[in-house]
Amino acid sequence: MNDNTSFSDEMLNAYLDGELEADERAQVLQALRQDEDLSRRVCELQKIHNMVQLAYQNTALPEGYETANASSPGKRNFAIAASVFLVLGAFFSGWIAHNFNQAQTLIELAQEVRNNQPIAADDHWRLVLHLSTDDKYRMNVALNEIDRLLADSKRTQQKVNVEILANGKGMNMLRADTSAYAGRIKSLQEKYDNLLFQACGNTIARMKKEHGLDIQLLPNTQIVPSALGQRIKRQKEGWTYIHI
Amino acid sequence: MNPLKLYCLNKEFKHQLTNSRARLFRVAFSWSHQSDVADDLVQETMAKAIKYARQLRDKNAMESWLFGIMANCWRDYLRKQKPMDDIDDDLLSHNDTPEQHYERQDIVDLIQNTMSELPIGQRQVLSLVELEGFSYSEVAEILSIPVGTVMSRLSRARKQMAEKLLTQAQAKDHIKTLRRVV
Repeated sequence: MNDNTSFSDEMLNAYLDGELEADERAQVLQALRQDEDLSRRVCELQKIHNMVQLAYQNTALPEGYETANASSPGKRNFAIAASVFLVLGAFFSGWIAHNFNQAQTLIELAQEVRNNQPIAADDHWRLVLHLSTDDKYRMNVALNEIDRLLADSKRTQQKVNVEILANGKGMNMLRADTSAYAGRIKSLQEKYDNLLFQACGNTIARMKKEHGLDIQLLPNTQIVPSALGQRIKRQKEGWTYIHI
Repeated sequence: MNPLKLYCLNKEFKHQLTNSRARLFRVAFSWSHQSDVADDLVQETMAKAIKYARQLRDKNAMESWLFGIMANCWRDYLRKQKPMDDIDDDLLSHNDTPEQHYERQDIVDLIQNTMSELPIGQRQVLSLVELEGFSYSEVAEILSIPVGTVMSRLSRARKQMAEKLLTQAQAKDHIKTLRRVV
């Protein structure tokens, strides 16, 4: 099964789109480690994926659509959320509010936030993304962008650590019984050891108390006592914080 | 249903509808590549969504329901334009001459032009997966086609995009620009 030709284009596409079952995904991953030609095929498909997203992310909206700057909901929501939380963040870490409406992607936005922070002496970028919604679009954007950031940083040997902190509805992404992203998250965890998924202990306790749910999390998910506490801790430690 | 609950549901429906507007436009634009056509499609989709709001039983399925309405509107539009053609096989002719086409330096234009040359069926699948992140089964539902067809169209679409874009990009030394975005 590890022969390059045994993987159809359909299967490689399904691999990229997170549509394969765990065993099939494992087969592709295993083959990717050994087969340069297969890696090249997947890389090309990934490039097309990024290019199509790039080509339409700033589609000009006609007059009368919500805001002139809102080329995509993700961009707008990320920008608004970050601006709001920056104001809160300023209280903890003295960040300077900035006009983020020009930021193109989640990571570019995070980079703008980082530019307004003191840079760590070792040039190590530590980023925490706080997810409190189960909006599929935002989750997809977040996972895609994180994948891209970590792949880039691996290639350029830039030191980066990313934590994805989930609470409230965002927990759906990390619950073994509800997550539509189990395969995707597993593959990201296998690819990057500098990516950590964290779940809010308070949310877990509340769901048990209010709904009698005994939540099982995806493998390798860390539980923190409280998402809010973790966020404040990380901000004090100089992490870049983005609420998505 | 009690009036208060109905009011809240309506309010939430309208809120979601408004929130989806820009996203509908982006996908409509990726199908038509004409701003005015895309705008008309979105308006028509929203009008139909309001008219048939009662048909939406599961509010969690609103996204795919909306895009499904828009896919129907787009099908109707194409029928009016070219009543004899099967949209799956329809290759739109390109307005640019080859010289103009190759002279374009802007990578965004290049990608959009390449996308606009895809058969419509493939373009629809590609944009729903790439831009909206719908799963294959959701795309199948939106476009009323089997999942296998979604997979084969997506595969052909990406292959064609790769053949045209990556070759052209290398030929025109766009690869430097590409590296910055990948």
